[in-house]
Amino acid sequence: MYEKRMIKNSIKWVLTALLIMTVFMLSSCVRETSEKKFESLDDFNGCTIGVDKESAYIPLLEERYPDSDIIPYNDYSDIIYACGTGKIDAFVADEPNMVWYLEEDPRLGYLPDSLCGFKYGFMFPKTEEGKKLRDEFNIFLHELSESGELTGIINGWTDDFDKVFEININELPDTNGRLTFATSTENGVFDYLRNGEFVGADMDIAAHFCQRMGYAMDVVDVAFAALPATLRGRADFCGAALPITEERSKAFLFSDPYLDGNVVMGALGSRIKGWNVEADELPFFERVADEFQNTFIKDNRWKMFLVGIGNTLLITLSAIVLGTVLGFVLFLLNRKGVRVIGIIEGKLSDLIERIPVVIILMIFFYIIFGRSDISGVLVSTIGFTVIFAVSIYDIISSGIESIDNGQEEAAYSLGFSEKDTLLLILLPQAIQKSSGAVKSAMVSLIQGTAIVGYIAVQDLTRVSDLIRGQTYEAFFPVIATALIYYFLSLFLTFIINHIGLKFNPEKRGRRDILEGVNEHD
Amino acid sequence: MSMIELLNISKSYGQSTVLKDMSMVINDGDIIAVIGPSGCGKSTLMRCIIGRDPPTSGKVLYNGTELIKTGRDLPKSCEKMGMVFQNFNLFPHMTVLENVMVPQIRVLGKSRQEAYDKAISLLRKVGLASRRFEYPEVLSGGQKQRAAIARTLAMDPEVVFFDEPTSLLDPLMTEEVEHVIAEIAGEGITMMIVTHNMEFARNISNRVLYLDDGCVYEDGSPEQIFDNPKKPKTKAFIRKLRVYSFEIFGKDYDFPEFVAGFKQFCAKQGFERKEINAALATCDEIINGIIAPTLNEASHILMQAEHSESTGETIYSISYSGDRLDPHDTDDFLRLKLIEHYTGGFLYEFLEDEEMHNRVTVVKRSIKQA
Repeated sequence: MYEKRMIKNSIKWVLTALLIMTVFMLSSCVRETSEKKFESLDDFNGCTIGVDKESAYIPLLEERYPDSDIIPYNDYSDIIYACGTGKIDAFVADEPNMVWYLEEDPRLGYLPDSLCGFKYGFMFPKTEEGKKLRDEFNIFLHELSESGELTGIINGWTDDFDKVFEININELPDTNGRLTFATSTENGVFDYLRNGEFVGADMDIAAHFCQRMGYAMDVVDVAFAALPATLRGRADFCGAALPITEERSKAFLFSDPYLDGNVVMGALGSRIKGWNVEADELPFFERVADEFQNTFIKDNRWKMFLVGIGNTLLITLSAIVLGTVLGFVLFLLNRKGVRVIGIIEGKLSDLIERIPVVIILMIFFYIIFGRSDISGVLVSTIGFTVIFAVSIYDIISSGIESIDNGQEEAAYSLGFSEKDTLLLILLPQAIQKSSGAVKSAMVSLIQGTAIVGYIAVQDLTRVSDLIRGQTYEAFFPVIATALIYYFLSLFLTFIINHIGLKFNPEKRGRRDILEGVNEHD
Repeated sequence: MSMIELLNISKSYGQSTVLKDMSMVINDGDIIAVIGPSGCGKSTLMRCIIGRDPPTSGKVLYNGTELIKTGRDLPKSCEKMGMVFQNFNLFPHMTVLENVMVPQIRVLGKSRQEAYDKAISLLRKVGLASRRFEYPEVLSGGQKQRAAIARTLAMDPEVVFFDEPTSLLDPLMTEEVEHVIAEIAGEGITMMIVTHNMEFARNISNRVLYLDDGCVYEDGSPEQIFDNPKKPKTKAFIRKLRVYSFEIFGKDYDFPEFVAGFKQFCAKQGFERKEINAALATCDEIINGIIAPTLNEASHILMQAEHSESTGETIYSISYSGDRLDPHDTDDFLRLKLIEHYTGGFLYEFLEDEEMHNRVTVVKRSIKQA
């Protein structure tokens, strides 16, 4: 029997490994194209062009290339990947970043002609304090540029990808107060995470500003799309290679530009006329090793995975424990006659069922706690605790409702008190009946936490995104994340099963039943 | 000595009134069988007395004090009233032993040892000591009910209410449970039993209540109620116990329904299988063979079977509308022979004045099962 199971298990694992390898090979196939080479900017008309969905260049591209498909992507890692595999023909980026992307995927190249110019600025909220800070910043920027330091900083980061961050942002004195700086580490060379630390030109300029003006500094890292929302109460200013646009200027204040340059078009190097393709295809296993190295070893990225797992587990487990307690207490209160709880719970349950969890969380983060200084982890924990408490409440009440009315009647006729009826008769049966529902609620909870990246929490999914954004390789980060989620939820169900067995009355032995009893009367 | 006194109890659920201004006394030592048509408020009455479903108006006195429900918990005196339910209501997550032990510990505050000793002796009494470590789900219905009885008795009740304790059980299990109840009755515990089994009601009780119209319609000794009921509704009810009737209107009819009901009636009377089959075959030949071809939309057939305890005779009769139709005159000689074989001869009458002119009557001396 045992052997059979061993064989079965081995086969299962071998098949899984094969499947993963096939996926890997598929993922690195390049679509062969025999189309003409790109010689000038006009040649891109009619091609599929990838662009960041938040990009300010979309209207421009649409105007310039009316025959092209402009495909919006979530972030540049996806764009680079799509271009590398031939899903799109070309993509658009500013020149400093283009150089950085080429470093990551040597198969790519770009046409040096300028599509348009860009001006990057820091963004401030349109408030009195925002205006004051902006003016202060502009003076600082002016001085920095006069002294030539600004160029030094920017070139330092765009030319040397291993540049060391010199200011310790955690130890800046708060002589003039504290500032929160928002950035998005999805912006290539200007802002990224290295060894779990924020680095890049924007970060460096912000740090210089705080250092010079006597501010202590907090940093929040959010999705690019969430930056504007962050400025409404959660952060004092933000910088993330933000092009100064007319539209954004309506809602926010911009500093003077700190960098201008050209926006260029990139494509596979082999398709750009005159581009020297230097990249050779590595042999399969070396490529695997290389990608593995990039994903986990380089810059100690495995530590980021650990942080992600830690945050995911922290949020999930706290929500499970606190949510169970809360759901239970609310249920008891409602049963005790505090009916208003039942009504509120019903409304909440309805809302949670109908609104995507990510939106609920954003309501918590940006609206309910928008003005207070609470970390994303705490907000996520509170949010998921409420969500889980509602499921536990629903599970218990439907569990108890499903118990035959006769049970309560029998308990009553035997003289059980209200409390004993609930604790000794109804709840044990309800718990037994609902263990399956509890398990699936927990599993969907851990899966639900995958969206906390939206509110600046570095959970497993967000970490996987960040690493993907740094390595421009999708395979290992995504597969690793999938496996980790799988095993985390397996582990969780295992624990619940274990606890369930402990509490299952039918698993008790004769000795437990006869505790404190001498059988030979 | 009166133990429980009901003073002008009324109970209604919304618009429908189940109990109407009912007054009665339960005396110490009474073993009361409650009978009556379904929906007459038998179960409601019990729930009112134990306080589970308090009356809309009126008073319940227990040993002279009024039972008033305070909050959601019972007054202490209710602990002296036990109840056994139709569907047992054992606690499925506890072993048989714990079902009997736990209430003693939690409610009476007994030690585990005391509770165990009492539980074991009661389980022995109901014949379930050997199954004490099993869970209710593996027990048969009869065993479940016996365990439930042990659980109720473990609380030392002064009075026990049985709400149709055997109506979900098959005949053999019914025997088991009735045997146990009879044994307890012999020990002098006051009891009130709602039942549909008249023989059991008659044998076990020393008092019978016939409930109808939301009140105690007739109250008397078993002999009075079963043999000499005084009031019309009681008479009709008791007579109906011995009479089975089935009516057919129009052309289409549900013969299997008739067969099932008829068999049930015969089984209740304890007839032999052979006799039941012969009676059924007779009805089959006469109705399906002879009358059915003449049926039209206005047809009306009434089949009746009545058993008389005193003469030991059962009379089957089939009355039907339409023109004169004597089965004796049928062309189907073979069918007639068969019917005569089954019945040992039957009587045909043509009744000018009745709605159904034709009537076939068979009289059989019933042989009861040993």
